[in-house]
Order: sequence, then C-alpha cells, then structure tokens
Amino acid sequence: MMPQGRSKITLFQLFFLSFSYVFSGLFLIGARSLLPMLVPLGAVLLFSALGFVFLDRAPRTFAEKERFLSFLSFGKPHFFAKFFAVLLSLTAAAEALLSVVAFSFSVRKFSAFLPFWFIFALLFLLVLFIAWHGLTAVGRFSELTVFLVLPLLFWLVFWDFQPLDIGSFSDSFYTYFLVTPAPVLYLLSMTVCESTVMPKPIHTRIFPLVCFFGGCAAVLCMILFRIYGASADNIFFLFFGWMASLIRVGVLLSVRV
Amino acid sequence: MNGERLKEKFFSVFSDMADFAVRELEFGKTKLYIAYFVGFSSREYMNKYVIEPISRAYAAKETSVSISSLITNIKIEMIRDFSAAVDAVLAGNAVLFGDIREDALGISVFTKNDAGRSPNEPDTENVIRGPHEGFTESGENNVVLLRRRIHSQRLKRKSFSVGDISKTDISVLYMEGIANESLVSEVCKRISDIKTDAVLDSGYVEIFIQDGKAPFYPTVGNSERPDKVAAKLMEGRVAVVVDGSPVVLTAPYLFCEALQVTEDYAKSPWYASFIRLLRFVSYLIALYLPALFIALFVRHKEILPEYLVSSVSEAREKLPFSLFWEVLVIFLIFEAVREVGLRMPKAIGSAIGLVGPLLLGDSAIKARITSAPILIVVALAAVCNFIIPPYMNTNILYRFFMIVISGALGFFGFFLAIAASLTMLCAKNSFGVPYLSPFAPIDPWGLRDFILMMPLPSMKRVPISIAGKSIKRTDGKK
Repeated sequence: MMPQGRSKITLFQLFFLSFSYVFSGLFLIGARSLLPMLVPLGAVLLFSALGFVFLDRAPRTFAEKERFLSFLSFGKPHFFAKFFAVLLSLTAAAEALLSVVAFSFSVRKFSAFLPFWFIFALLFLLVLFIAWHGLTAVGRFSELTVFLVLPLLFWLVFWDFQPLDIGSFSDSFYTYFLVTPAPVLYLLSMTVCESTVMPKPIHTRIFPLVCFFGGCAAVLCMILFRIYGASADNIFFLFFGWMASLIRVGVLLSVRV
Repeated sequence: MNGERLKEKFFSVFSDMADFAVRELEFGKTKLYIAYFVGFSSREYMNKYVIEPISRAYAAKETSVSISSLITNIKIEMIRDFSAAVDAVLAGNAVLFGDIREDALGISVFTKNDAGRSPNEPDTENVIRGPHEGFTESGENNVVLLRRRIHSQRLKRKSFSVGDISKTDISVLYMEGIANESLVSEVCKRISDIKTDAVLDSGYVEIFIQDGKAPFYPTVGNSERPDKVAAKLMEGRVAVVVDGSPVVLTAPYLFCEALQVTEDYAKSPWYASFIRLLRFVSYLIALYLPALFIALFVRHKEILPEYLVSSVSEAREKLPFSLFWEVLVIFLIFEAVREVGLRMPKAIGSAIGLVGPLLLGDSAIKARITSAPILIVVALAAVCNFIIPPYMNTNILYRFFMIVISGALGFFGFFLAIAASLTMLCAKNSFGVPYLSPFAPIDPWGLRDFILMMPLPSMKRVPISIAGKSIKRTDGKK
C-alpha cells in the first residue's frame, strides 16, 4: 500500500542531507579555521545558483533522470547525457571511497587498539547496509542526526571558549571531496516526495535554495562548535560527526544515474 | 424439511456433544423445535423472546400469523440451508424449526449468552485521572464501548469471520474521511488473508497482520482502554476488535506512541512535555547507558576524568570478573529475578521481586563479587526500562547486543550498533506509514504531540503521516 520509492526525499530531508554532507566534509578534514569552511560553502553556493537559474526554465517537477541529464549536458541528448551520467557516477563513487577512508582514519585516531583495515571493512559493510535501504532511509536518518545538534550545543556551551583563526587547508588531499559537488547536484534532481508529510508539490526552484541553506547551517554549526572548543576528545561531537559522515557516504552510494 | 428429520440431522452433526439440545414445543397441531447449545445460548432470552410470545399468541388463539412475527427478539434471520443453521447454532443462536409457516428452513434468533465480566480498569494501563473502564472479552461490548465515545455515523465497522474451525468474529473499525482508505483496505486484506484453524486471541491476529514475519519492533499497537483506542481512531488509525479478547489492536503503530500516555492530555502541556522528555531520556538510559559505560571504561579510559576512573577502579579492586563480564552477569541475574517475580503467584512474586535484588545486590557487594558503581548502572538501566512498556522486551535483547559489541569494539562498536539499528528503524514502515514519523520524516502537525506536547486547541489537524492528507480536527475536512 501507499507505494513509496526508496529514493524519494522530502524538502526537510533535502535540507538536512545538505547539512550533513557539508558538515561531515568539514569534520573529516578536521577544519579548524575559516578558509576550509568557506570553500565548500562556495562550491555549494555556485551550484545552487546554477540550479536556481537553470531550473527556472526546466519542467516544473524535474523528476525524470533524462531531464536531469539533459540539464547537465545543456540540453544535448544521448552522448552528452550519457557522458555526464558516467562522470557523475564516477565522481560519486570516488568521493564515497575517499570518504570511507577518511572516516576510517577518524575512527582509528580515537580507537587506536583497532587495526585500520578492520575499521575500514566494518564501515564499508555499514555504509553498504545503509545504501541498500535507499536514499529515503538516509534522508530520515539525516533528520534524526540533526536532533543531536541541540543536546550537543547545550553540552558545549559549558566548555571553554576557543578563538577561530583564518588558516589554510590542513590537508589538500582530503579537500578534494569537499569541493566536488556531484551529490549536491544529485540532490537537486530529486523529486520531493509528497506522499507522507508534504501535502503539495513544491516548486523546483526551492530545491537549490534549500541545499544552500543546509550548507550555510552546517558551516555556522561547525564555527559554533569550534568556538566552543569541540574536538575529537568530545564523544558527543565525535558521535555527531561520525553520524554525519555516514549520511555523506549513504548519499554518495545512493547515486544511481 | 420435516421437523423430526431436521432434528435427527442436527443430532447426527452434533453427535457426542452433551451440551447440544433440542427443545420440542407443541401448540395444538403446531410442533416447533428449538436447537441450541446449553449455556452458550441464554435460557432467559429463549424463554422471554421466543417461547413466551408464541405461547401467549396460541393461548389467545392467534394462530394465523407467521411464527417470525411473534418472536420479540430484534435480531432474527431466516435460514435457507442446513449449513447456515449449523453455523447459527455454533455462533450461540437458537434455531427455531418445524411448523414455522415461513418459506425457510428455520429461524435463527439471537440468544447468545453475553454474560461476562464488567468493563473493569485494566491492570496494565492504570490512570489516576481518566475513565476507569476497560475492554472485556465480548467483541460486541467492546464495539459498544467505542461507540459510546464516538457518536458519529462516520465510525464505520467491517466484520470478518476468521479461523477455519474457530470462526472467530473480528471487527475492523475506522473513521470515514479521516482514516486513509488504502490503510483500511490493507488492514482488511491482511485479515482476510489469515489462513489458520483457530484465532483464540487478538495476539494471533497481530502476528498475522504485522509488517514482516518476525519484526524486532512492534508494528501493531494494542490497548485495553476504550478512551485510548477512540483517540487513535480520531487520528486516522484503524482498530481491530477480536471477539474473546480484551485487547484491541490498532494500526499503524509508530514509535512515538510509546511515549504517549492517555493521562498526558489531562495535564498541563508544560508538565506533560516534561514527563515525556523524562520518558524519552529514560528510554535512552535503559538502552545505551550500560553499553556506553563499558565502551568508555573498558576501551577509552583516557578520555574520562581521572577521579571518575579512580573511583570505579577502587570499587572494583580484587573483583574476580572483568568489567565486561561483571555487567553482563549482573544483567542476566536481574532478568532472571524479574522473570521469577512474574511467573510466581502474585503474593510471592512481588516479595521476590522486591527482596531478591536487594538481598542479592547487597550480599554480592559484601562478598566482593560485584561493585557498587556497576550495580548502580545496571539497576538504573533496568528500572528505566519499565518506563516504556511496549519496548521493554525489545530493549532487553538490544541492550545485550549493545553491551557485547561495545565491549569488543569500544566507542566505535557503540556507534556501529546505534547506526545500524537507526538505519533499520528509518527504513521501517508500519502499514505504509514511516515508523519514526513524526520526526523522521518530519511531520509538523505530528510533532505537536510528540516529546513536546502542545495544548489540545493548537492540535488543529490530524498527523498527515497517518491520515495521508491534511485534515482539520474540527470538521474533518481538508
């Protein structure tokens, strides 16, 4: 009954997925200064602006994959569309792999008694398990994770205040997956699901705006956490960062062009 | 068919059944027979609504009218074939046959003995403020209890007879215009699809209609309180009343329902919100505290404050077990004592439940088998588990799993277990409705009655996730 695609998400979920995506990127590279925080936001902004402009001319629902690929290939059919589809899949897969590696390093830092390959294998199984349940489940998961922000902020307020400097990237290798916008574009292509909590279909132009605001909220949150001195020693912060990272990989693995 | 032949046929079908009886009545040339089950059919009803009016009519020489017009019972049915007559007798009705002067084999008269216990307050769902009335074993009475609360022609009822041998009466109730039509048809379909010999309790039906063969989390709700079921019907849920069971099922069942108690709505929304938050935090403590304790104290001592580590270490000096085994064993003992308390007769059970853990705990600390901090953690988690009864059993199993994986992998294991279980919960649906609704996916109207409870007047619409559309509570319109 009530057939529900496993790749449909709501507008709220789009916001929280964008939030988790950007936040986890910042968490995984261990961003402690303003510059690495603002660069991914710039990338999201750029593609959100593109989406905002182009989606106005696109069909109202913008649901079918063909239309999305047509948009990516500037309306050119067949070859260009396939080329962009393959490119999108490859970047998403590469980004997913890098994210799992970075995630494993983050776990290894905290749990030094576990071998790296073991952590990697367990995480890989977990993300496959999550991706198997589809993007709908990942979207709902992202909503739950954001519920953790409130207790975390409440907890951190009682910690020491830390200054935030304008630094450079700590590790240029990992910044790669921060600025690759494949998943953001993919999210833009999603049809907002109206069957459960959205009574009316929503105009397509809202999608990129929601993505952008999700990214902004993530950067703001990270700045706040860093100001209050959140670090890998804080298990609540660590837990939240890991959850967001899982969502990131879940989104990337759910990309099926 | 001749009355005598029909009587013989009845006795051949109901052979070796001492409680089956046929009463013969003669009024002049007219010969009537009443087939019934002793005790199952009410003698009082048969005398009052069948025998007395017919006797009076024949005494007054009113012999030309049909027998059915003489019967004063409101529920009668003409029976055309013998198998229907057998079914009617088996359902507790009295079947009148012989010279009935009707174009039918017999007349089924509703005389089912409905004497049962009165609707007392259920032991499992006590309230201080609110109606002290519960469902009984009579399905008909249970429907009446719901109708007494919802005086509306929109409260619809569909009836089923389930069980090849038991032929149990099952009623599906829902509010027309509020309940999602696809939900109603899905519930009806699942009930129609039940293939079994007997349905002896609503628990049987629950197993057949739930999502999945053996779900870890319940997907069908149940209650013994008519007020609670009526409230669920008003939110667009479907109720399933099974004859012979005082427990009424409701579908869909969502996680948030475990936090809601009928009495909350009679309290100030501020206090109700505080209590619900407390329930939620207690649920988290019951589930995660022992595992987190093990993960941190066994694998990540370095991130804990020194005074906390030294305090626990001092208390655990010279203990025979490691921390992991200590927690696991104490939990197993606690569950064993709890089970004993439940299975023993009430008077002894409560004494064992109270004295057992106290005595055992105190002796175990003195004998240096366990330590006080561990006992506190275990007791706190065990007590908090009682705060949300629908998830009590699930939590016990899940907690053991959490303890084992956290002991093995530390905080990473703790994280893995939570992530995996949350993923399963996120993907789970109950009759097509997201299980974690209204917070995943977010349903703004549903959130008004979740952990934080808004005042009743501000709950203007029913949760969209259940009804499938936005409906105002006031007039039931979109």
